[in-house]
Amino acid sequence: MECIVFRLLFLYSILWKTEFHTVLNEAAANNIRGWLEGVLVIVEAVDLVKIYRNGVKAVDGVSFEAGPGITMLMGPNGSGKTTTLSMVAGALKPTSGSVYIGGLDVWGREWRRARSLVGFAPQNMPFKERLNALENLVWHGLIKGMSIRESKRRGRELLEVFGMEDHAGFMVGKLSGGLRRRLSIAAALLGDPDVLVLDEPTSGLDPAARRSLWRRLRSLAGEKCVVASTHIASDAEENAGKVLVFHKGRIVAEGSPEELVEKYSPGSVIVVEGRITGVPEVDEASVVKSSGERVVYMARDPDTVLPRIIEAMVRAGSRVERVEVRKPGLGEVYLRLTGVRLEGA
Amino acid sequence: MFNRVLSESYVFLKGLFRYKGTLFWVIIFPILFYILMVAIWGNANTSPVRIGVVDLDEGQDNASASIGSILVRALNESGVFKVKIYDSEATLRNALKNGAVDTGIVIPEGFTRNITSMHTARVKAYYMEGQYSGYYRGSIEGFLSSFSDRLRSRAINESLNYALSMVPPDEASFIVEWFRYIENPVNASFEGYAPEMLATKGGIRAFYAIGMIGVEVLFIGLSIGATMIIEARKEGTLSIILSSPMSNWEMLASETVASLLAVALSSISILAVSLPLGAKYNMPPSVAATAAVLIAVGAVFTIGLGLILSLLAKSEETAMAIVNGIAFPVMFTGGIVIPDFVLPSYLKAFANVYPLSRVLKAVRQMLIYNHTPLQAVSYAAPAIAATVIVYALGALVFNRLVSKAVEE
Repeated sequence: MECIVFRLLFLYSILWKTEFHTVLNEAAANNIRGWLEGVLVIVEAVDLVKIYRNGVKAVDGVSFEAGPGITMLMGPNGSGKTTTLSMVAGALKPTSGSVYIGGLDVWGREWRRARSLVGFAPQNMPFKERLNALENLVWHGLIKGMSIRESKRRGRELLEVFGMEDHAGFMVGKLSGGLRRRLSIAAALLGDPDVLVLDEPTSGLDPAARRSLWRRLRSLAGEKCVVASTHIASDAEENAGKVLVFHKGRIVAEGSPEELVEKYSPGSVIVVEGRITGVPEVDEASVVKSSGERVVYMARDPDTVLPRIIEAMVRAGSRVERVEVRKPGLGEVYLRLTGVRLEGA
Repeated sequence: MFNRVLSESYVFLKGLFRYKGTLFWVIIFPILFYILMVAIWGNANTSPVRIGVVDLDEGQDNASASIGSILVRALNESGVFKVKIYDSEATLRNALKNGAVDTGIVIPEGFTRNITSMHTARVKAYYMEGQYSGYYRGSIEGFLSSFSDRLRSRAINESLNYALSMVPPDEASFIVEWFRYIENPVNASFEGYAPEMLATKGGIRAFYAIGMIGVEVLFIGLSIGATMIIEARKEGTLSIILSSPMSNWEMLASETVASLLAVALSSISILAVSLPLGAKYNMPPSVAATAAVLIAVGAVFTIGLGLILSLLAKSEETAMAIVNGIAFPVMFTGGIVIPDFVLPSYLKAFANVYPLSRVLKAVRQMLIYNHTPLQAVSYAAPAIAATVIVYALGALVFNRLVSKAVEE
């Protein structure tokens, strides 16, 4: 952030103090301003608190920054992700705290410019039910200030990007959950916003559809700043550059998936499956989970520990049928941090 | 900003022909209702009074016709009555009780004999009690009084001729004057008058067309105003709008423009149907433009009122119940559909001050009564001022509700 501020100050000094703008032609000036805004586009949430009228504190002092790429808010339902994203998108006013998009306060005097940089796809995928898919995109374009013609042109392009060109004339009520989800993200992309705020973008989709949608989002993200939420650990692990771990309205950890795993769940996961008659204690390994057919160990050095685990189990009368050694994921991290098991862990 | 303000109009236009409900309430309902009004009240002529007659007058042996039968013929030829003959007083009374006739008279036996022998002849008259009793009683009373006057004139003329033969010529003029006074102590002159709008079929039909536009303004404005926020919250699009660069005022302007568009389409449909049905308008371009502006003022007023009412409603159902609870009575009591001159005085006062009624009256003044736009606008000026205040208050309510929504 300091670096960006420094670069901005430098650019402003060039543009305004040295009257550089008077010698640049219009196009060149616009290019520089465009670059300037490009640098500015970043989401910054500062000490966000949201207390609802019924007294429930949904978000309690959340601060984070998000740059280009995918930043994922990870946590189970009710952990404050949706409330935080709604505040970031400008759809919900924080009780206290601030949100800056590209340095512009979403709730301040430059709210309009700040919000024109954001595309928001809420979890409930609201649409104008009286309109078809393309018309809904046109409506989104209109409220973002685009003309009908431009909205229609861009809407068609986005439908093509999301493989929905054949559904342009479908009433939204007739679209499947997956198609509605895609349409919702396409709507958020109208106006080419620099920040995409996506609340549970793959919620309700089957694993294949989820993977396909994330693939599209990763390719679309590019230079954009995508702030998304998920309650599925593997989604965050596979797609996020940065993960914010949410628990009870707070961020309990943040970093890249690798950093989080390294910090909070080092070692490997050893899964032993078969007819398990006993779960033996083994040095340098801890039992994470066990059932009649499956035992999960965590160990720092699986190469050394695995033979000892097998040996102990066989000696205890278990019949081992399958062994899997893998690196732990964000699910294990979440479990370690909060004691709560996430979906996809 | 322009594109954002157009957003709701886009939704409205796209949904208009796709959703039968919208099409019905904006175009088909006003046309059907207008046709119904024209069918019931659309003619300048009032229906005749149905009179039952029992003629028991046997006349005189040497007369070709009884005076009773002359009276019946006069009733028939008056244009005011539709005569139905009954054979007895009992059957006539039954007919009155059953509502088969509105009034009745019984011409008794000896009617002719009494008149010709200079005795007072009696007639018994009946009229139906109820809302129009004054009208029925007045009709029969007026007719009998007129008939009696004619007989009196005849008797006086005969008496005068006799008297003139008895007095010296220099006193004749005094005698004539005296007899004329006895014949007619008060000489009242009568001239038929109906409110201008009732004078012609074209005027009546134009009156109801403007009334129907008023009904649409009333319902569209109130319902959109009252459900604006509730509907956006219900469908969830409010969160999308709030996260967009659209301001609260642009959102309000967008809904207002969409409502005006609905009112405009509805008005055009009503006017288009009213013309072939015989409505006559005085509509040079300046009048048409002023009328459009005044109708828009009425619509903006009702939207403002709807917005204020939205404070009372938490759900769409409650909002619509409030809207219907207000719009239906106002439709009939505010001089919108029913002419204000037939309303009781306290409702007349309401119709005079209610802004929508006042702008509609101003529109009628121009389109039917040939007032100039300046006269109409002057008449509507208090309503325009009230509209500014009510819409401003509505806008404040809207802003408050959006702010509340963004905090929840």
